[in-house]
Amino acid sequence: MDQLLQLTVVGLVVGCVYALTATGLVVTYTTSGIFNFAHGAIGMLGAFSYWQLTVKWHWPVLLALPVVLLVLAPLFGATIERIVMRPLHGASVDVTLVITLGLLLFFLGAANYFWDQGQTRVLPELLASWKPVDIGGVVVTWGQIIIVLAAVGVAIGLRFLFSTTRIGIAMRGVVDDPDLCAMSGASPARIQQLSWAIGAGLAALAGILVAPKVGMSALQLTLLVINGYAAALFGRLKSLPRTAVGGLLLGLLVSYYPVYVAPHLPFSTTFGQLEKAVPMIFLGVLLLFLPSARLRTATTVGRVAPTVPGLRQSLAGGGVMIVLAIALASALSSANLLIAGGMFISALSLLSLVLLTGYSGQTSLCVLTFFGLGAFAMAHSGTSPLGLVWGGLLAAAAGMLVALVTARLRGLYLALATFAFAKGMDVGFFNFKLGSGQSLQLKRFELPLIDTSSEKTFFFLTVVVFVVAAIGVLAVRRGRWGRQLTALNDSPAACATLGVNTTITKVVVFTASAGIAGVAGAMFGAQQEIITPSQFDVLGSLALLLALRIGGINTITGALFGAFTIGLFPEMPQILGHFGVTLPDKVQLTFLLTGIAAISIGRDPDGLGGQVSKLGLRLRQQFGSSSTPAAPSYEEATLVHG
Amino acid sequence: MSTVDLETYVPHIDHQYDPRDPEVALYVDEVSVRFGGVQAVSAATIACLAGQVTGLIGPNGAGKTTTFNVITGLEAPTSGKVFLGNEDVSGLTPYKRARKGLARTFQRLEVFGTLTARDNILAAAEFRRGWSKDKSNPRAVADQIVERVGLQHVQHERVDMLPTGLARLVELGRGLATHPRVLLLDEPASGLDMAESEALGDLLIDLAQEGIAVLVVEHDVDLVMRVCDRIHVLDFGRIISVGFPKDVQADPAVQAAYLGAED
Amino acid sequence: MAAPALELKGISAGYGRIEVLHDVSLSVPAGTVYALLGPNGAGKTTTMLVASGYVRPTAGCIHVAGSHVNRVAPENLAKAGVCRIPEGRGIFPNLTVNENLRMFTYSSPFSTSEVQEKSYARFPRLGERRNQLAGTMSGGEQQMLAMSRALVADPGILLLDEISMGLAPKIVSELYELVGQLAQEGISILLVEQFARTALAVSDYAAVMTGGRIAMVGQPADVADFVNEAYLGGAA
Ligand SMILES: Nc1ncnc2c1ncn2[C@@H]1O[C@H](COP(=O)(O)OP(=O)(O)OP(=O)(O)O)[C@@H](O)[C@H]1O
Ligand SMILES: [Mg+2]
Repeated sequence: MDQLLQLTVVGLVVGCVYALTATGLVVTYTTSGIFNFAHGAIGMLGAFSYWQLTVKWHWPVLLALPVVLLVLAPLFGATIERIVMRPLHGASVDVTLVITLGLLLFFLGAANYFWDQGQTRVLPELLASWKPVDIGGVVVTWGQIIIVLAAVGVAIGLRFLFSTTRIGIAMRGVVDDPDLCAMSGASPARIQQLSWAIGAGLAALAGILVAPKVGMSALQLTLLVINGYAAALFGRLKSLPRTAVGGLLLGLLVSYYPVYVAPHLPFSTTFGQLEKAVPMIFLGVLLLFLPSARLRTATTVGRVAPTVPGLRQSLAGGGVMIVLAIALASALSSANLLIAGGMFISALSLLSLVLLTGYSGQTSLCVLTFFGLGAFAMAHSGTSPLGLVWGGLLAAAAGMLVALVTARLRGLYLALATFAFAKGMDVGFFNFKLGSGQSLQLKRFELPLIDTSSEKTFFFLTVVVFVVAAIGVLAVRRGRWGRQLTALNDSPAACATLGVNTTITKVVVFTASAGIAGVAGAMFGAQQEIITPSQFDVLGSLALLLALRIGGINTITGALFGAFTIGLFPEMPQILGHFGVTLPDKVQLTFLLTGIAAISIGRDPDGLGGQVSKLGLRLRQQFGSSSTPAAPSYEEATLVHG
Repeated sequence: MSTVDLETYVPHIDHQYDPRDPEVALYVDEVSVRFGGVQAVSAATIACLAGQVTGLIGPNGAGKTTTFNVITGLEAPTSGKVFLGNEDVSGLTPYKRARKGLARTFQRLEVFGTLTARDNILAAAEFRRGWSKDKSNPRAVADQIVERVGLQHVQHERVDMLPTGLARLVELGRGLATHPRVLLLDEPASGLDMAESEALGDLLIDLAQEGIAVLVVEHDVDLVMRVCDRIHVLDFGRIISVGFPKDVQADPAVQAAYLGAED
Repeated sequence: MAAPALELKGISAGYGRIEVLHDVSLSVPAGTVYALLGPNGAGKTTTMLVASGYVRPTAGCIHVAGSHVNRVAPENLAKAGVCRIPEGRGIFPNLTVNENLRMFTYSSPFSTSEVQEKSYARFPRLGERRNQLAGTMSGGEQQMLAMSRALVADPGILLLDEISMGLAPKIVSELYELVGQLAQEGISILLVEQFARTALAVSDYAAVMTGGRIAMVGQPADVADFVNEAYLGGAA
């Protein structure tokens, strides 16, 4: 009995933390339509600023707290809105997701710069000097009580704001139609700025309250909010009271799980070890069983529909690429060949996203999970080249399963479901099977007549696989299927009333895309000859999506650009070094560059590939009219690239 | 058949036809839909005959679009059945109904915005080729339909750039590309100018003459009266009148609920 | 004599490189109803967008009640009394009817309860559905809600873009009655419609637009003749 009470109290406190973070997410989502991955990072910065003021500069708490919560954080939120979010109205789900991911990385980089993460910092709990209270044998600190009070206060305050005040109603209304908002005489920019300010304030509040418990680790604080996703989803990203309840339920579940739930499950030892995956499982289950809520439909703002090269052109392009690869292979050192090969492997996995997200508009955040499954299959295939096939098939099977289970989800819900899947697989499969922090050795497959152990040959092989896949993807795009995918993306309802089985279409695309990612993973395993679970992490999948957005979401060129960009970022310090530029260690260039790149996407969602397309279009219009028929049809129109 | 006598008429039943009649292409059998506290449709019965244009009119919020959603399977009715060509399709998903020859347009546009007008129609023709036995060339079908609905001048423009009226024609063309036996049109003329809606009226009559059963929801009364063979009037989810255009127009119940005073 | 409620002088405007309006001039005298007619794609909606500050003209100037407003932001124009009811549905789909009305108080001299009272009196349907999400209402119900904004904004100039689209005839005649009443109260109205007859019946002046230019301006009766000629004579 004592234990139950104790677990309940702990669960409620944890639940309040979830509720608090989830509330911030929901506020931002309902008022801007953006699911803010960087919410935790903003909270982290809040906590660090608060630490700076109180611990470092010895400001009194009663001064520092309002300064951070009511001045710094809101200003910060308003600035984010002004610089990053304003151009994003009407952007597609994956754009908003990767941009907030970029912000997250940028803030992490900034935190590392200002607060060296090697150093340990302690943030005392609020009212730490007050005597803890004994509730039925459970000792509760005032810090914990404040968490509960804050969660309750925030819930009530926001409910009041959003349902009774005019500005609150305007904040909910503006997201659907800023123009109409202006027509009604309210400034959409002001209103959105206010909602970002409030969102940032809430993030900072949560950050300051939990930092004493979690510790002043930038990464930990940033990722903490992920567990709150389930609570936010419980409120269907809309209802604050339901979000709060979701948070509490999740807190209790997490707290009861090891004692009351896991032992009663089949395979209890396995499940007992999956404690960390509970919030993600909760999230997954919610997504599957909650009645689907009305989601904002995807829009097509600023989407160029680049035209696809014909078969002859793609074959020619592929040929050129292979010739270049031969030239490159003889010019590069082994180490550089590994890096270059790695880029093509990334490009191959980006190709799977071009098919899935670029063409058919489904946002998946688990591409690296399929990639990892491919590598895993390769690891179990010894030196047989069939490992590539098994890798592809295993990933495709997993992809089909995910697609079937998530068939009725779209947009952000689909993205979050794949997120939960990736996170669950991360904890429940890769870290579990391979062992956290462990690695798995594997052997490179062997082929008759070809010496795959030579880096040159293997690089060449990688390029060939990429080219074949790219020609295949383009062929899909060109034909009936490509149009069907676009149509499905634009209006699923219309497709259904025209006789298209939308579920099958979605499942087929998902499966094919997962298969490509699986082959990429198998190649990766063979190339690296060692894999570790952290390589298949969900944030990596997000980073890949980001890279593809930077490159250009719906072109082969985009996949290549994207892969080179992420391939180059980690090498940047070295490259700069060649030019005599050295940066201090604490500058995490990768993070900063990724962040900046992400922010730039907001200005132009078509990415580099899109730029190339537009340039090509302009050149064509100016010079090449002879090759363009007078009335170009969809397939033949505008421009060439690929 | 003349105007229904309100005293004796059981309002929700179309006495004249039966779902098993061979000329009935679509039969909506006492369909009701409830959204929370709102009874959007109550026991509405509608019969559409092959080769005729049937009108479905009624005040705003009467349940016309909801009825369309039920017919196409996008909305599940609280009770009632839908028959397509004498076959009960109530349990079928939208795409299966479409494959049985049902096509529609949407009041709130559902075009493929990033495709061109012609590609919208081409996509539909290709869908049909994918699921039907008829393997005629989708491109030829698309070109023919583009001309038929009068979209030649904008066929290569992206549909989200078109004015509403023309986008509605794209939806109509898309529906035609699946060679439907039953075609549902939700306010096809809204957003069209006079010349365009004139042409649309002629097209609807043509389509009916080819044997298609056309069911049209429209607030342009002149158009409705001109093209429809029979009209059903919905009010608060109930069928309040069924009959030939001139009778419906003269029905006091319809005037009170929908048309307003004659001017 | 009072300055015109709205005056466009030599306006050219468009989207990107495509010019839609070419040298359009029109003037809505204070307290009158001005109907702007014409076929699809003539540029009527763009004219509305220019007048309400959403599309910046590339040439020409806009005067509202005598002051030059070329560079004024839309929300400030709205506050200054330019009220546009857009084509399609000018409502917030994820807010309830009541909350939508609350939003309309931003540009209204009336209090929330007065706004509700006025709207529900005019459109009882809205009163019955006050807590329904606007996005789930039927097309026509949404249009009624959108029109309520014109009702409560007490605007200097009201821009109505195809308000009859998708409305039952009975409601259309009621709406036009409303337009007439608003005009009686001294509100100036610029009205865009495809269907000449209803619009001309309530207007004091009318113009026909084709291909981005004003083709003719005149008394409603003359314009009616012109339109009949163009549509019936020309289309055959
Ligand atoms: N999802 C929903 N939730 C609640 N009420 C709804 C929903 N969908 C429709 N309704 C209501 O059902 C009624 C019928 O709506 P429907 O769209 O079928 O009308 P309609 O006859 O097509 O009208 P209109 O001519 O204005 O388009 C309306 O009162 C509408 O408010
Ligand atoms: Mg309707």
